[in-house]
Amino acid sequence: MTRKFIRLHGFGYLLLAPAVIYLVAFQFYPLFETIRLSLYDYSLIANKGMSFIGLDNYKFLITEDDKFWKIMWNSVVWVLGSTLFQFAVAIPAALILSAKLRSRGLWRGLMMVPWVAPVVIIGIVWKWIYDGHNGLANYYLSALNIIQENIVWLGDDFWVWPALLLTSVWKGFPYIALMLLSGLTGISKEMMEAAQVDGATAWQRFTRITLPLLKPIMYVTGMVAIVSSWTKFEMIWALTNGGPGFETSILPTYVYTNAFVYYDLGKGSAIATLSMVFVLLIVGIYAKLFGKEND
Amino acid sequence: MKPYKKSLVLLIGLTMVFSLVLAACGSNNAANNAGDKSPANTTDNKSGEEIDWKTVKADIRFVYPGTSESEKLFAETFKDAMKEKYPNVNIEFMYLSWADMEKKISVMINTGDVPDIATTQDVTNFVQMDGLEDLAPFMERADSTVKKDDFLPGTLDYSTVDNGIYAVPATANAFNLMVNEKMLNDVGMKLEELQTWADVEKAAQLMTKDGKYGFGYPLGVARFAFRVPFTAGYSNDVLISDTSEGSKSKYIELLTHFKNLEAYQPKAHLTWGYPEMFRAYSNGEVGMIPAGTFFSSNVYSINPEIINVSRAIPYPKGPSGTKIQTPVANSGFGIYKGSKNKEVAWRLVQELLSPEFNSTQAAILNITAKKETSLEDVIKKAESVYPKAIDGHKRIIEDFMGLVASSGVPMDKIVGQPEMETIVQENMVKMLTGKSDPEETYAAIIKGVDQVKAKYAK
Amino acid sequence: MKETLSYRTLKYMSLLVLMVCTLFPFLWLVDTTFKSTEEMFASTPSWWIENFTLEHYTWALGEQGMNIGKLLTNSIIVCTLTALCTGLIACLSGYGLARFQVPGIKLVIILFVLAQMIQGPLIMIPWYELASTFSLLNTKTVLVLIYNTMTIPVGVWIMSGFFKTVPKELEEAAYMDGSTKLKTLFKIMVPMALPGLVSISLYSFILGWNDYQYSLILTNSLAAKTVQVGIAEVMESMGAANWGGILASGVIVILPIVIIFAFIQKLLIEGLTAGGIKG
Repeated sequence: MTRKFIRLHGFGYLLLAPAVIYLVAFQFYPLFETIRLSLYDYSLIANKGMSFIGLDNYKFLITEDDKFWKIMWNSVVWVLGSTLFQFAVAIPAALILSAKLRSRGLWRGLMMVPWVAPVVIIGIVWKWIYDGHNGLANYYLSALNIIQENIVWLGDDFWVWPALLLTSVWKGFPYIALMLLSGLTGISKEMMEAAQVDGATAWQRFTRITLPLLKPIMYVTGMVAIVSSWTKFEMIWALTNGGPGFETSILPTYVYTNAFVYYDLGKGSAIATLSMVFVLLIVGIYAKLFGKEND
Repeated sequence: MKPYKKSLVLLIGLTMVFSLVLAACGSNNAANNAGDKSPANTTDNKSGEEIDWKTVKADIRFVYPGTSESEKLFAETFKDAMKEKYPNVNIEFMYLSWADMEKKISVMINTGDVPDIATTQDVTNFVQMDGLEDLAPFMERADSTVKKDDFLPGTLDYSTVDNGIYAVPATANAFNLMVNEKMLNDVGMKLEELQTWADVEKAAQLMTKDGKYGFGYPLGVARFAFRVPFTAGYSNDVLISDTSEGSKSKYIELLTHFKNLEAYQPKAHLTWGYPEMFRAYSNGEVGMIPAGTFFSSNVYSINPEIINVSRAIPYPKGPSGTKIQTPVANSGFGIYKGSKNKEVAWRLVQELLSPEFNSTQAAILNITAKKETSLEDVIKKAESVYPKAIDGHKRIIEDFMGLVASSGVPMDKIVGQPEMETIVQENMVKMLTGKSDPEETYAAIIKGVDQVKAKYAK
Repeated sequence: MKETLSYRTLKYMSLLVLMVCTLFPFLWLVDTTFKSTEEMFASTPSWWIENFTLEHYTWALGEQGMNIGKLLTNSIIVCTLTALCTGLIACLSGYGLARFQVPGIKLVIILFVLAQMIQGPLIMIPWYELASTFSLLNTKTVLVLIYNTMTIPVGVWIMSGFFKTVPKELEEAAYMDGSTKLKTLFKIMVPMALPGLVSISLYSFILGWNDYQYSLILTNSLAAKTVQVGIAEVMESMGAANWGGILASGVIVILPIVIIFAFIQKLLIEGLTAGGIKG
């Protein structure tokens, strides 16, 4: 029995081992610490050490904290919005850049610009674009007579989320486009040409050949995009600090504010743990919806 | 090929498991070590024996959140001078931004691995973390060149918590109102006429025309959203953390003042931080901004000319205020509690406070906290820092010296202030966008502030 | 096949739109770095440069200023090592995830998701402890180690996606020829999934490149500090921040990656010809 098991699965385990061991070795302790701290009343500046309080932090967040659910909802909007719109931009971008073009390498390189631009720097530029007083967006939109009055993009109840999502899409789409581009290079030209000879239109070729072949890549890329937009908050932090108040906060900014602005590590850890649980849930749903055909 | 690869994989795996085990055992040791060493060292030199400083060996880590060119130059000059005097003392500057410093130091204090010298502003959080050494015993020593009564009124108080002195002030930071005098005169008002909040509102109203505005209150960053009403409150005898029933009417007056000013501010101030505010002011688009002694350094690179038309005045008096008051804080130097070289660190702090270095630092950040540092020196050195606007800069320094002398009071230190900042910002924005009135805003702020107080009172 | 004129026009028009939208903030950034500081902060935005200056770049490159050359070297070393490490581990484990449905695989997947979630501010304290215990503070090694915790889960995952697109028949044919499993992986599968390997290595490189929080906490000397920290530390001082110099540093940070990628991207295409798939 065991011998057979090893013969059957031994190599599989051996292959998975490096990644699993690495992650367990280096991430287990931080994970353990996070969960442990979440059970304590532990503020660095309350001057009273740590005291074990069981699930009180969680109870407070879920039942008493009037900010938590709003922030939770913001996170969902942020993640779904970012992922969907990033794909919506990345698919055409990848198709354009996989076509025969002069100096294609250059264009592909330039597409990477948003992705590699340091947030500390590019955050300043986006702030200039969105500034409600003398920002570029207002300047051009009023020059084109699209708006009559300046809009305070990041201070407006309605516009703030579209504005933030736009930056997220801008920053994140190159990665997805890159993945799709690598996937597209795997689709053989002969197959496409054969389809064309058979009279398939460009749209048919796209939906019948390209998309199905890209599915496995899209599936994993989508998963990565969800998880990474769930954890990445630098852009929001650079543009609004998650404020005013907690208006534009998402869970990671809430963790950050609690842990490093308020120095409340207990509460910060509890939010982080809940955040992990929620993302597992979302990823689970995602896998149920799209994972079947890819397994 | 195959066995080689296999063993490699195994090797990687084993190393990692091993390191995990080590990590689990090791982390406790680290904390213990740091704890053991520090108390032993502090007692070393209490007796005051003669020390031959030429031979003293130490590596000093100096946390220095001053990364503008002039500040960096100051740091390097100091390092070179100290190298001459103490050839075996090695200073390593840790350059950080202020915001990052707080984060990094909190991690370091938490893990027991701390640097030696601290640059400080508000010491409250670090004192609460038990991260800073009480310097009072050092200052009381006979041979200390830094004494308690060396400092301008108010400055030392800002570093004092329960009789412990946690930082030696180097420069004084006063928070006040900066006025573009030219814009003010253009609308027919004189600087002397700005005596009350009503005068500020009137001036703001008059200045607001042709795409220009009277006032700029940066609401986009919680710290500044808090600091501005906090500053103004001093001249109405109300502290923003004061939740007592007796202060209610004064508090509401404060909120109403900002509601009144709202019409004379660019709408965009909702999202502004200091850079945007200074930019608008420097370009002459906003006539008055609540700022502080750090004003010159922030506007100089954008438009040096603006310094020549700017004046610093205390924030004028509110309707219930008995007198004008300007909150004074400081920027100074402290020593981390876990430092292994406290004696050397203290020696260096004294050097930093010597007239030579103190006046250089004050030349960058406007006013010194030390009485004996001469204004002439400061101004002379400022000529190289602010060459394009030296006359205006001189006048602003004099303004600041005057307002600290006449109306300076120590700024309050509030435990839990960061949490209160968010609460104030949230509710100020609600009020100024017309979603609530001052009464409701007051109720909401008080409720939040009380919760924060309760959290830290336990 | 011959391209029609309208197809060509459409193609280049869409490229133009894509590039303008993508590069707009960057172009504004570049434009700004050549202006004098006063002009940079002028009230009305303008692309026109009144007083062209290179002083910001001089500052960024100079030793008295940002000294970005040293920082760039650190970043490049750290990120390259991260990319190599992740590439190797992702090939092995990604293949395992794609082809070997071992019992407990669900658990492994959950571990990968979790590992990605255990990032950010909260793990700073445990990581700082680890690093200080092993005297790894202020070294490039600790950065490589921590970056790999972010990149390995993603890398494994994505490689598995690429391995899945490779037809099973190819492996079976290799086994028929008597090739071992490991040899099949490196001789047949990896070349086939080369575009994937290139993209995850690049992904790892850039994730490290973009990191700021970890490097901030775990390093502080010029020996290990990365560009991101170097730039951030000068942004919020009490004295005047040199905005022009900071922005110029940003441009200098972006350019090498764009150039590297413009060359590397060829591998995305040539990988296939090497694998020898036809039809």
